[in-house]
Amino acid sequence: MNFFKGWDKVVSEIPEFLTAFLCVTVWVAIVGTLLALTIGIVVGLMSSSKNKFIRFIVRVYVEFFQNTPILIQIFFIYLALPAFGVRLHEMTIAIMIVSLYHGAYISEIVRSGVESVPKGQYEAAESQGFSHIQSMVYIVLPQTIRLILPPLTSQIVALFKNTSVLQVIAGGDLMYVAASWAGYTGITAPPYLIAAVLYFSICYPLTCLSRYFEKKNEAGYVQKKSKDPAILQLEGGALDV
Amino acid sequence: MSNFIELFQTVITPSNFKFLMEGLALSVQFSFIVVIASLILGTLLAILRNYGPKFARAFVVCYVELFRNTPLLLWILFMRFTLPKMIGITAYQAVILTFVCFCASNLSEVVRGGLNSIPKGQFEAAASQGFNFIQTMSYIVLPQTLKMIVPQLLQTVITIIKDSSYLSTLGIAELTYRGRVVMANFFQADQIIFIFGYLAGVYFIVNFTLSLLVRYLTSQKRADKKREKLRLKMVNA
Repeated sequence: MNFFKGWDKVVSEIPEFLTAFLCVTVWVAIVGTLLALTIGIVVGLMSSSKNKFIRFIVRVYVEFFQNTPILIQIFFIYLALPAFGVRLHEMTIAIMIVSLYHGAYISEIVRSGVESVPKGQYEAAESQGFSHIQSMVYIVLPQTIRLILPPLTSQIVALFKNTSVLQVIAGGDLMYVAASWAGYTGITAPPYLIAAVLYFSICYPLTCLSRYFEKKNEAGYVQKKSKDPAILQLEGGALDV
Repeated sequence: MSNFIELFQTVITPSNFKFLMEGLALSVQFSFIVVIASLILGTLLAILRNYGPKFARAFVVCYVELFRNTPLLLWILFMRFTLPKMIGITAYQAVILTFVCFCASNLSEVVRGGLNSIPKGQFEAAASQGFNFIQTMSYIVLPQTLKMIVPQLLQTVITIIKDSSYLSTLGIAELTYRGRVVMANFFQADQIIFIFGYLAGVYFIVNFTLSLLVRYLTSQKRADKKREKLRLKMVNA
């Protein structure tokens, strides 16, 4: 059986796997998450702007990144930029792509959160002399943060998983190290299973955190007809990718 | 503009166009095969999770969590390089199997949401009419659930079409792979960028059309719900 062969050999490689995981995968994921959150919140707020042109630009950005494969995007940056004489480190490319890709998804989450706040509150804020940005920062965002935390956390999980596209541009991340070791030695099952354990060890706590936020929301002031998170996902429409 | 047309004519020749579109057909066909197979598996998992014995529920929970918290690419590579040697299937079949396993974990949660939204009274009514469990499921519960989750299924098709680009790293001739084959004939920067733009455009057109459909169906569903609410209000009044 394939699954039980080669474990003795792979054990000595575990430090290398761990280094690749911590120094590349986790690092890209952390920087990517921070950037994606920034992009997502800025773009999400922009999409509720009154200016039609801004809204159009935002739509184009969101639809483009949501409807094309992340692989095409990363290949594009990887192969096209050198043609212009720009050479970027693979990790930089990955951070860029992952944050742009998930920024598009996060902006949609932020937008739906912002839209869930009743219109009367904007009018009330305006009547008190708040500017658009002020009413967003002081009134709308604090309310939406609770609502959008669960889907936001699952986006972070998805972002973490998508850092594995680094493998296709030889980025030296965990996936790449595992795959190239498997290719080099011909021992296929163990390295992938170790990689799976490592990915799982970060993603599972985050998934649990997302579920915890959801539970807390249900118990809180947010009134919902159906208590089942699976139903909420059904009503919410978009699946996390 | 004339430059653009010239570029189009040199890069996307009729034979290249045909070559690329065959790749797209493969991607789309692949994603429909996967979505149908994973719908069946996902439904089974959802039913087991909701109504099965305790160990089966635990198994389904583990299964779903495992696939939700690890990258798809990992499983594609894993299955591609272990299964064909072990049980003698082709690489393409191994990849289909991976996608089915992966998507079934997502869809099982979607189906479960649908199952849980069916009022309990319907199960009781079915039982009172002498329906057994399988009959209740196949005649009453599942038809309603499936109708409910059509938008999510289409959303899954979009995701699979996007993720099917991973097949290109395994040498399966879908759209991205064929795009890179075409690219190998061209060396100028603008030509390479043009091919990428073309590939992205093709994916975009297919997926955007599907996502418009998803949005239309979701808004229809919402309107239906609103109408139903209004009707109930009037009946009660």
